[in-house]
Amino acid sequence: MVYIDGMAQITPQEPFCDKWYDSPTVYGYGLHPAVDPPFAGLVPAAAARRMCLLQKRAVAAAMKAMSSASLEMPDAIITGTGAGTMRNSEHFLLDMKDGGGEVLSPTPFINSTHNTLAATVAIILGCKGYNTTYSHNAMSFPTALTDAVTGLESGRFSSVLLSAHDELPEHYYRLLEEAGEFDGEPFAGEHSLSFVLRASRSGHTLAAVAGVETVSSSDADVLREAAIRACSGMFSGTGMIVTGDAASSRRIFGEGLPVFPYKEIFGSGFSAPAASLYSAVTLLARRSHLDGILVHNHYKNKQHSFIFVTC
Amino acid sequence: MMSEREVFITGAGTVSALGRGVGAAAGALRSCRSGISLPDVFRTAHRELPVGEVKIDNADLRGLLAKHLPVPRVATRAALLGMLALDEALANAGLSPDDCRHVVLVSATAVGGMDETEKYYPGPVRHEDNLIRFHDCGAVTDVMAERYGGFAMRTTVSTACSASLNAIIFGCDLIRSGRAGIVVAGGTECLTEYHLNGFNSLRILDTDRCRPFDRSRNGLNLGEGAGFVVLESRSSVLRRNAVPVAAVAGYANRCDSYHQTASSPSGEGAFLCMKAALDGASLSPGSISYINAHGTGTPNNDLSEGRAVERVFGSAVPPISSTKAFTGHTTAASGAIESVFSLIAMTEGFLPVSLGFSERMDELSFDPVTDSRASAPLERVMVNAFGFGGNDSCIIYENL
Repeated sequence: MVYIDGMAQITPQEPFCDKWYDSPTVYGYGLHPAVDPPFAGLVPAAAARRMCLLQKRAVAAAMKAMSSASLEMPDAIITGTGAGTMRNSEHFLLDMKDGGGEVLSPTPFINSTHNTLAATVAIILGCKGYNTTYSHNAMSFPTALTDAVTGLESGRFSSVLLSAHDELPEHYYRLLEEAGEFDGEPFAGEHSLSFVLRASRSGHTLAAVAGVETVSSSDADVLREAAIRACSGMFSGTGMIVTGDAASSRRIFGEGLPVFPYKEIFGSGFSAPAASLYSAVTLLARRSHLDGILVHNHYKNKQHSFIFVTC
Repeated sequence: MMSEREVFITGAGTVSALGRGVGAAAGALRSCRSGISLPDVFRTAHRELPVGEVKIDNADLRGLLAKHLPVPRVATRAALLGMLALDEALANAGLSPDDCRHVVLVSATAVGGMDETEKYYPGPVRHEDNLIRFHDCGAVTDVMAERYGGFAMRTTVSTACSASLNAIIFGCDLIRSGRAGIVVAGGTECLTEYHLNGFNSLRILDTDRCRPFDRSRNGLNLGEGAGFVVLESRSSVLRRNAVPVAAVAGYANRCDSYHQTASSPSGEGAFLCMKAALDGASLSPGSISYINAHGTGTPNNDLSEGRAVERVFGSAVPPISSTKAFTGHTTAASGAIESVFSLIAMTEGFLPVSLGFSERMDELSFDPVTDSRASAPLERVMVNAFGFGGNDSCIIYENL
């Protein structure tokens, strides 16, 4: 059991607030970038000038989550990103193609390694603790969460800054869309989210993560067993499923539980699952009759992840 | 007689410029035969830059793989190299594809499918040439995993040059927490124009073969390859009657928190991770028989790492070498490939030589290994891997 003491979101909905819950912006199919908050005050100005947009989002979300959790320094920084700072990768690729040859600027290359975001936050904070980044499509954040939970439950960490970040620059989105990546999804979005997790409950605690399981299977029985493991026997306490795919959840769990299809509000993308956890925590706070929520995500039915969130 | 450690190594596999398999690597390491050359299989405009390439093209990689299991219709080079190493590691551990239902795969890569993406970006001429869904890191791992039925779960670490060491670390944590009984962990990387140009733009590539820890060192050579180790819990080893070759004694990851590419002058992150790995293993510095350094051959890394080693080991620096003059810097795969090399050295009882060394660095008090004969059995080996973003990792393996 670990505790979420703070969180912050930058997504296609209004950032750093819960307007998405009361009056969400409605989007149709297509690419809808994240709505950025003002970065001044959250990202040091001198450093910001050298940062790309996703780095600024990463720092801003981290600072916001840490401040709401009253955390000055995390023991560990654990991050998920499906495609990393793809704008930098695109920039460097196009420079190369333009025949840059000997005069290529190294900056976009330097900032295109996937752990750039985690490193940027660590440098800003001066954090020398455990720092790792997972890059595995929509399972990036679930893996990062698993690592965070393992570290907190074992006593290696007392606090973790857990984040997920992805962006969709023009060419990358177009190529993905043409290849069918967003077929069946409401729309494509960008997502930058941070959570502060602690090993014990505090006055800041919003909700608890009771379990997380990720499994390579599309078999309903296998998946149901994994979900029950995630709920550590508390499955009957589930009041709702926050899901990235309502049809898939119903196939596994039947029609009995209400579902909240979070992608209709936040869109799809490698880091969208972080928004599913954000949604679940908010729903628990706003709907007092709910004691537990199962969060269900999958990537093209190749792997499914389940997170059980309780009050 | 098994020690009190919790995680054991029951298999290993690798492919690199030294060739296919643990045996080829062992032979090359023992006979001081570098695999670095000018590019031949790798088609690049930069034909003057030495690289550590795997001298097998993609079609031949497919041919080799198909002899064991069917190869996915689309598989980028990093996936092909990874599958070669995976086949060997799993076979080495006595695990069949069917057994993989109960095995977790933790891979690592930095370039992912970029070798294909860079051919057609920003847009392919024909729709069927759009392989963008094979570009990201997870796609490479998924392609590999699906050949074995998907594994119980699979994921990918991407922390630049420390990635596959971090993959092994995460695998150990999964086992110690009871989440997994068997984890095959490591990484894979292939040469791309993208990162060759990238490192070139940073002016840290040597136009000669690299010379780690040498006074005249002038940069690194890029390499490619894959390495995987099979990590197993004590109870799984006993249940399967598996024969472990080593135990994982300790490990740590720390952040230098200094600069995106350069290491701090005092090697703070490197110092912290080596010290934490020793502390976690309840070991004194004196118990380390050999250090496989990150040792890229860049002026910055070798100085920073050298200083950090002296801070940890004082005047008693154990035999230390970098094997990057054998294989080049295989970036994300380096931690795993060099773990396999270190395990070979430890179990066969020799020291990998630091090729290219001739003159000690002014700032350091030690020479790296120049003679492969070990004066005593190797009891414990330490493997370092440091990545961009100050991501510093260390693992200590123990002989059984």
